[in-house]
Order: sequence, then structure tokens, then C-alpha cells
Amino acid sequence: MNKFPRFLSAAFALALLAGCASTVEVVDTRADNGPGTMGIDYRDFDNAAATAVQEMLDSGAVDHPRGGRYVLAISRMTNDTMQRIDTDQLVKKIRVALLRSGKVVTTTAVGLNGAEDEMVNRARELRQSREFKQETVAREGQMVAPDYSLSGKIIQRNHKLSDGRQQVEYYFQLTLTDINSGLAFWEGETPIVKRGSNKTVSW
Amino acid sequence: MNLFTLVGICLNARQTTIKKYSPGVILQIHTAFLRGVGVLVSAALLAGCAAHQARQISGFDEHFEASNYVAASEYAMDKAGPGDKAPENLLWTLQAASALRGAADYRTSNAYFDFAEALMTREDGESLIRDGGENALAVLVNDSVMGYEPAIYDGVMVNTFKALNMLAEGDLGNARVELNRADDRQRRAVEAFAKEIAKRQEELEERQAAETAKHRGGANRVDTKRSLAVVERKVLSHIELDRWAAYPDFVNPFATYVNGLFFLLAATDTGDAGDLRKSHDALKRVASMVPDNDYVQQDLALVEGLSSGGLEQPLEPVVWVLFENGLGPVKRERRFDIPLFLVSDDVLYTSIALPKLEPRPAATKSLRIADGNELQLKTATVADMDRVIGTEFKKDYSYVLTRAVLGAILKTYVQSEITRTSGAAAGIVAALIQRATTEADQRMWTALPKEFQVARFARPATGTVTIGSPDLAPVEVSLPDAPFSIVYVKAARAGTTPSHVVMSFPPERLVSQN
Repeated sequence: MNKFPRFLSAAFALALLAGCASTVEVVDTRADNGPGTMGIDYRDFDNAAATAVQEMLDSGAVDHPRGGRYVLAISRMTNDTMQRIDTDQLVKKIRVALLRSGKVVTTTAVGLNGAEDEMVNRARELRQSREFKQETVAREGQMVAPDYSLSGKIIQRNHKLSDGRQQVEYYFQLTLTDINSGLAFWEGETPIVKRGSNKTVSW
Repeated sequence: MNLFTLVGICLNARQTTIKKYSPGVILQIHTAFLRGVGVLVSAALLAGCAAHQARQISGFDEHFEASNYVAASEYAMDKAGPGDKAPENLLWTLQAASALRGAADYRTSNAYFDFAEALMTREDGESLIRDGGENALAVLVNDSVMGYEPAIYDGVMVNTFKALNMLAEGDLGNARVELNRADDRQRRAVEAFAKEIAKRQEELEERQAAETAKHRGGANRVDTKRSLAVVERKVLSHIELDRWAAYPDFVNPFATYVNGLFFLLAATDTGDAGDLRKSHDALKRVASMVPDNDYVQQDLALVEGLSSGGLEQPLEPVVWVLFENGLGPVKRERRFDIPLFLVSDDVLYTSIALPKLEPRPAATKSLRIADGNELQLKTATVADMDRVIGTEFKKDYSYVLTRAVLGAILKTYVQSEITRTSGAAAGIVAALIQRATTEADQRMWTALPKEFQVARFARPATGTVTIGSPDLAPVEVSLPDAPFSIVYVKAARAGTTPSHVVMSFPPERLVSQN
């Protein structure tokens, strides 16, 4: 029996399969030199969050005089760009970095649209239940009110350059307000500027 | 022009242009003509495109004009692309999104608008080679073989409608993004127009030079420049471009008004000075474009008051009525007989087909709003979409015209040479093909309204108003007990019941719709 045609078909099938297989690349997010976009990508969030947190820490605004931690509530974060972005993603990075600094903790029990973590309140509803050991249920007067409020805005400005390209500027603006006095103890603005083709819109 | 005239022209051309050639030249000419016939035959296969497309659009318009938005959306979705895949046809994706919006299916409408925006971005990013190829094919056949090129107002309206869909769903965050996009598209429009016209003119001049060079060796050399000059005079006197008074800087006042209104409402909620500034800039621009619209002047006065006095003072509840009135223009074909001046002092007649904007009627002159007591007012125009569309149509016209004339020159030249070298019968076939491929591209987003009107008033204590007109069935609207509300009304034509949706600010829920 001539095995050559069978071998040939197998090789052909393999070649076809190889041609169809898509390659998946795992990106090292700490050293990603892949092509950027005119929109906002995770690298921009990383940069903006890292810069903002470093500036906030360097300013001394969150240095507690008695060495304790300040309690931070997250306020409104307005996305005033042309990109549909999840501002929670940016805020999360800032929260993580601040928590790691050991100077700030974030409350999830207070938010503009209600508690971020509804469980804080739901668990308190167990106070009426006979099914739960009452000494394990959260007690009254235990929640900690925030010292600071973090609010912000991401804005976008587009310009056409004289060389025919466009410049897209994003400004990550953050404000840290002392809730007790209503005074802004720290404000920061991190610009991210991109230049690229003007053939189409920047989103 | 009928077939007999064409045949007569072919025969006449043959008699007047016979010259003596060497056998080598004859062979070359024959080869070239065979190639020409091949091109024309292929073109014939594509012929009928424009007429077919126009028929499809009319089918959609029938449903849409009758306010049968569900049927219109099914019709358009079917043509936009297969149901299990992303739509590929931009024009039908736009039509589908509009019809879905009319049917109050805001979520699906926005999915289609998102697809449309992605297709627009893909069209913008098309390579020069593909653009050039499409243009060359359009000269050979007609403009309908090119992919639908979105107008700038198409893009602006996509983002504005998306924002309005989001507002109806109470999604202020994403509505803001869409309004920022609409604003950026308007900024880009001015730059794009100036640049595009220069680029197109350059392309056409290059093509014109190439065509002239190609025809130099043949018997019928066409004086393209002279032909174009005569055509332009003849066509422009008939096409009534001047009835479409242009808006300055290609600004769509409705998109700018919605922007101004949104940022005014946002500022009252957020207290953000940046939002107030945006609102002020937008409303000031609209107020200068429609100085007779008292409602816009009142909005501007409110935002100016807020800018100088801060946002602390409580505002009385205000209701805005936004009205989509009638349907925008459609494109119809108009044919012209044109002379092609030959260098040999002969004149060859042919025809070109050009699109012409034809207005459609308004559903009514204006809406009357009453609460049964003292409140009695009428809506007033804030944006005339006939003008918005006409402004861009006018700007593009010289390009469309030149391309049609170049196509006619090429086809007539090939046809006359076929007649001369291969006989009258071949010439008749070529003439038939030329006749079939001479069609105007009539595609456009026909679901846009004729105009947008607005009204604003203090929320009446009764909490209800009647909106109607002598041409439309009256609609009873319950107003939410909210600081601000927008009643969005749409009527495609007279004799129908307008559809409406009520949005409250701050958004709580979709209050009512029908």
C-alpha cells in the first residue's frame, strides 16, 4: 500500500490547521511597548493613577499627625472625554495604591449613589433575625465616617497640528477634599498627550 | 436621450472621424477597444445598482413616513446585514438605528448606531488605493458602485441621537461622551471640508490630465475642460443649489442646542463650572444662528444668569419640548444632455445623470402646547435639516458633477470609437451599456427629520399639557414632578399621531412613551 498519499494528506491537513491556529500573546504589562491607541488604554490609567498617588503622598496631605490612617470616600468621577471609559477602573488603581501606602483606607459604606458595598447595610438587617447569633451581628455606632472625599474629572481636548496630524490631550484631574472643613487639601492634574493620524475621529 | 438619438450620434461620429491608420495602429486601437468593451460589459453587470438602491430606499421610506417604525426597522435591519453578524452596510445600519429609535427600542437603536460609527471609522481609515479604485470604478460606471460615503452631518447626528437614546434610558454619563463626540465632529467638519475639497480637486485634475493624454492618440479627442465648463453652466442653472441656504461653518444647530441643554442640566446637578461654560458656548452659538428663537434666548439668559450668580439659587422647574418635524430631503435623479467638444471641431452629445435634493413636507408648521389654563405656546425652529443637508450637498456637488462628466466623456469616447471601428451594431450595444450605467447615486440617510423645533416653559401646576396641531392628533403628556424634564416629540408626516417620550432630570426613570 502506498503510504505517500496518506502522508501527504496528513501533512496538508496539519498545514491547514497550523494556518488556522491564531497565536495568543501574553503581554507583560510592566514592559508593554505595543502600539498605543488615540483613546485611553490601561497604560494611561496606570500612568495617571501612579502619578496622582505619588503626588498626593509627596504633598503630605494624607500624612496623619498621630500616625493613623485617614478614611477616604469616593465621590463623583466625571468622564468628560469622547471615550466610553470605566472611571471605576482608574479609581480602583488609585485606591489600591493609597491602601498600599498605609496612609489611607477607603470606605465602601458611603457613596454618592448609596453604599458601594450594599452588604454593609444588609448585614445590619440581621439584627432582627433570630437565626443569627446577635453577638456576631455588626453593632450600632461602629461604622467610621470619612475624613476625605476624592472627586475627579477626566477631560479631553483635540487639536489639529500643522503637520496634518491630531493631538489628543487627556487631563486626569483629582481633588482631595477635607469633609470636615470643605477645603481641598490636595489637587492634581496628570496630562496624557497623544499624537497620531487625523484621518478619523479619536475614539 | 433615447436610444435612436444615441445611435444617430454614434453613426454621425463614425462618419465625421474616419481617418487612415497604419495596420499597426489599427491593431492597437482594436485591442484597446476590446478592452473598453470588456470594461463596459463588466460595468453593465453592475448597472441598475443605483435604480435598485433607490427602490429599496423608497420601500423603507413608505414604512417610516407612515410612522410604522417597527416595520421600517425590520426592513432596514434585514438590509443592514445578516442577523447573527455585525451589520456591514452603513446606510442601512443608519436607517435601522433611526427606525428602532422611532420604535422606542433605545438599546437596540444604540447598538446599531454603534455599528454605524464603527463602519464610519473604517470608511475614514480606508487606504488611498482603495479610495482611488472606488473612484475609478465610479467614473466607469456610476457613484452607486462606491461604498456609501457618510456625510459629516450623518456622523454628528449619529452621536446626537445616541446621546438622546441614552438620556431616555437615564444614562447621563454615556450621553455626555456622545455629545462630546458630536461636538468634536463639528469641529472636524470645518477642517475636513476645506481639506477634502482641495484634495478631491487635485485628484480630479490628475485624472482629467490622464484621460486627455489617453485620448490623444484616438480619432475623437475630447476637450475635457471646455466640455466641463459648458456642463457646469447648464447643470447649475437647473439644479437649484441656491435654494439650500448654507449654515455657517457646517454647524448643525440642533446638535449644538442639545449639547448646550445637556451641559446646562448637568451643571445644575454637578455644580461644575466647566459644564456651565460648555453650555454657555453652545447656546451662544445657537442663539446667534437662530436669533428669532425666543426659547433659545431664554436658555442663554438662564445660563448667563447662572454663570454670574452661581448655581446655588433654586431654579423653578422647567419643561423643554423638542420636536422632530417631518422628514428631510431625498435625492432624485435628474438627467442632462451635454455636449462633448471634440478637438476636431465636432460636438458629440451624450447624457449625464445627477442627484438632485428634493424636499419633503413638514408634518405640521409647529406644535401647540397648552395646559388648559394660561399656558399656550408654539414650538419654534432651532435647526432646519434641509439646510444642514443642503450645505454639504452643495459643497460636494462640483466633485459629483466632474466625476459624472468624466465618466460620460470616457464612455462616449469608447462608444464612438467602437462604432467607428466595429460598426453600428457594436456601437448600439455600447450605447445601451452607456445608457444603463448613466445613473445618479440617490443613497442618503432618509430617516432624518426636516427640522427640529423647540419650546420651553415653567412646569404647570396641573402637571399635564396637551401637545397638538391642526395637522396632528393631540397628545396628552403627564409631566414628571422633577426639577427639569424634556418631552421629545416626533411626527413624520401630517395626519399621524406623534410619538413622544418624557425624560426627567435628574433621571429617575423613563416616564412615559407611546
